[in-house]
Amino acid sequence: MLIKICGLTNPDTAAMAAKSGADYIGLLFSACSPRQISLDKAREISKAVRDAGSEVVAVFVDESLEELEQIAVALDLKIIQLHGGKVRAFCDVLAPKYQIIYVADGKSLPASLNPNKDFIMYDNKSSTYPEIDPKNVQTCGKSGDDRKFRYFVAGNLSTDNIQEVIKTTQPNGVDLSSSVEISKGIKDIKKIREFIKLTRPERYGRFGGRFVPELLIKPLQELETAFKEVVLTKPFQAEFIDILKNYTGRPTALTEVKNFAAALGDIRVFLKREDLLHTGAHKINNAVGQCLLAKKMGKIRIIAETGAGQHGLATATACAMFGLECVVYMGKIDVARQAPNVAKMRLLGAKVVSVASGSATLKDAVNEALRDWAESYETSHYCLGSALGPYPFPQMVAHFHAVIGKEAHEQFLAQAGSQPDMVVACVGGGSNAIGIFQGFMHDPKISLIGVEAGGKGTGLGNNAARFSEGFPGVLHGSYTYLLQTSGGQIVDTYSISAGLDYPAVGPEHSDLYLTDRAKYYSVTDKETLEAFQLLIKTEGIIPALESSHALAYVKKIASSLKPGTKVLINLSGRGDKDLPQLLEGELKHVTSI
Amino acid sequence: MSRLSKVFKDSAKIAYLTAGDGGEKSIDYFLALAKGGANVLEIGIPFSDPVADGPSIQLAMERALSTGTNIDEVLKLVAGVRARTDAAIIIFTYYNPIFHDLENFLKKIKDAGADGVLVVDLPFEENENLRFLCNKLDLAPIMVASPSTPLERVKLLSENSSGFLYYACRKGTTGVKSDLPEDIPQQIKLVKEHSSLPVAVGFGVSNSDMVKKLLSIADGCVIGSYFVNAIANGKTPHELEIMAKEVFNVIPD
Repeated sequence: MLIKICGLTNPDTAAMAAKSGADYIGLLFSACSPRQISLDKAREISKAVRDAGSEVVAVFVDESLEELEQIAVALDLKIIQLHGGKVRAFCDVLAPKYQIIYVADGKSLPASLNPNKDFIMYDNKSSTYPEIDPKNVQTCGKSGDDRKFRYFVAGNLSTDNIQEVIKTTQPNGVDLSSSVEISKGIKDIKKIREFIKLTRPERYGRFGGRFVPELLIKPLQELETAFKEVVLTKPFQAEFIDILKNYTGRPTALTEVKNFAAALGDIRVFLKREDLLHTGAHKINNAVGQCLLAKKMGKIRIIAETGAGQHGLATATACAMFGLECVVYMGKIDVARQAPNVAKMRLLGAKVVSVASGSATLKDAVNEALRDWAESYETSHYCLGSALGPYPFPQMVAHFHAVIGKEAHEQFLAQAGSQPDMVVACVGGGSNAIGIFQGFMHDPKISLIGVEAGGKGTGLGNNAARFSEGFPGVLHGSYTYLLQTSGGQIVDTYSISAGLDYPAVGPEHSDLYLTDRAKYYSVTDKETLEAFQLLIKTEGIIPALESSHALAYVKKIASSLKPGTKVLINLSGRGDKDLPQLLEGELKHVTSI
Repeated sequence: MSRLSKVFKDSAKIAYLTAGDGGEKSIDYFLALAKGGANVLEIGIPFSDPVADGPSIQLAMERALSTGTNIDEVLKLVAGVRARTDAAIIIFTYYNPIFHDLENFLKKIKDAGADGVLVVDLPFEENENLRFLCNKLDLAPIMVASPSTPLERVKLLSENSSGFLYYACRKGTTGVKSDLPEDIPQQIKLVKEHSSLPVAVGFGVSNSDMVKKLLSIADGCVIGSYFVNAIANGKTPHELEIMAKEVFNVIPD
């Protein structure tokens, strides 16, 4: 679904609209429009929009051919919209030079329009779209014209009717203007984003989607239905919350770590203690949520992938409790470096399949899990462990982890008397970060920071820093930032931490990054290990290597923070699982003391 | 008439290999298949994470990537194959290697002599732009239906693609199987009833009995992993040609 937003008058809003998923930004020059802009302003907006990766469209109403062409040349336009009767008359002159969006007027379409490039727009001033019959819409219903055009619908669209209009008119794109304004001519980015979300519910702005082989479409559609019709109901939520409280041990504590903070500088640091949960990490929130749903969907077998083993362990645990068969795919390298979790999963009755293909880490485990699901979806649920993959997985996983942010928000206020200045979390796929960010996203004063695995340092292959070294692409069902070659091949990643060692990031993080709502940085293995040891020595808490990345980032920037800055870190898991690996490697000296 | 429509006037015998597998001999393997009776060559672009494929094709893609096969190499191969055979050519690919420059990619494969393109992880809901561009460039956008595809959707997919409908006749991924699913005649009958395009059947096809049976009930069949394994096992192009003759040279019931 293409999205065009019309009548932008401000470069910043236009750029933000583009970054939020608008494919086209429409500019108006006619004196009869309250959204009229000058050519200089149009230049500024065009630059901002193109820098953001979208395209500008000039919307002409009553300009002369000379005026119109002057503007088109000045802005180097490729697409123009012929909106009024006066400019529609120039179609034959303009169609050979530009891509045209031709606003239908109920009359026959000019022969000069070319369905291989041009669009028709149905601008509806009443509440229905009488001209549009999805079967025969492309020609305005005129007989003798068998050209099939792509078309936009516009006019009288609102958050209430947009989904219905899309369903009944089946357009190739929607055009929004007054419906995303606070007042005449003033666009509101919040409204724009809300509208884009309704228009493309499977996306976060530009990112996400459902890029899977046909075979997986039906299971994903069934899951989407189950998510909407089962998970989002009161009885399910009550059952889920009960399990979180009485089985997994929620709410988790919020701990102010004064010794750790004192070692860093004059700041206050609070840890959201997901490490205290049953099985030792936040992953259990999602595992019990999805397994409960699977049970209600009548599935008898659960498939999971795991990197650090925490999601595998959480899923194996939930399966034991719910009486479900469990198969966990795990990269061969991860099986070796996360031995305690492998043993625990097997003890819980799960089958752990070691994956030797590709780079033998998390991404290859996801490949195998998807292949299994393609064969077994009738009886199996794929319990994806992070806020990534095809729609509705990112949305569903984020939903099950929202409790982290909700609790933290209340606890922080109670303990610190205000909200944090910044919220920091490590980001592999990004589920723990999305979990905690959700509690604070609404307040623009609170900065959100995701910390990626910097591994051995810069250079493709040395880390899992998707935002600093990657660019958007499609992997595992989702359009998002990826570590890849210029030819689109996924590259091997490296991190000391198996849970962050993954070439893609959850699509919502890509949206938060591009729209600047969250910032993403990376820290190296070395910095991570220092922070890991510092927290152990100063506070008696053994953090997971994944979570230690968040600690390391705060340690690194602490001296640059204003005195008294309040930092909330999501301590997503405990480090017991990492000890055998570390005591044989980086921390070997400890064993000889 | 397009090459694909010509092929489907009779039975389509579609053979898949991964571009670049077999190194410099990759082109010879494709030509061997054409000589062996394949009238559609499906040329796969290697991708690091081929989730729709089983181990045979995944390993073929790893081999092809390890010798540096990229899009330019694939284009050269397509042009080379086109120069030496009249068989129809379709390109099989995952989305990530092509989407940054989709229109150019499609233009280039068209210029190199391809007749269609199948982007396996770009389902109907995400492929509007691909369909539009293919239509503009006169390339057939080919879509896959599977046992999980509702029949109404089979209709939708066939009406929005061209050339033929690829029916992947079993759940799971690609890979050699010794038998066809038992209910295959009923499956194909229903798919054909709902498809506005000819239907070619693939996934696991690996011997002449299967081909014979499929060609008697469908408009074509696809053999992939069976040929891919031959390269993995060190067969020469000539030996592959003999294998192709053995499986394709059948008279449908």
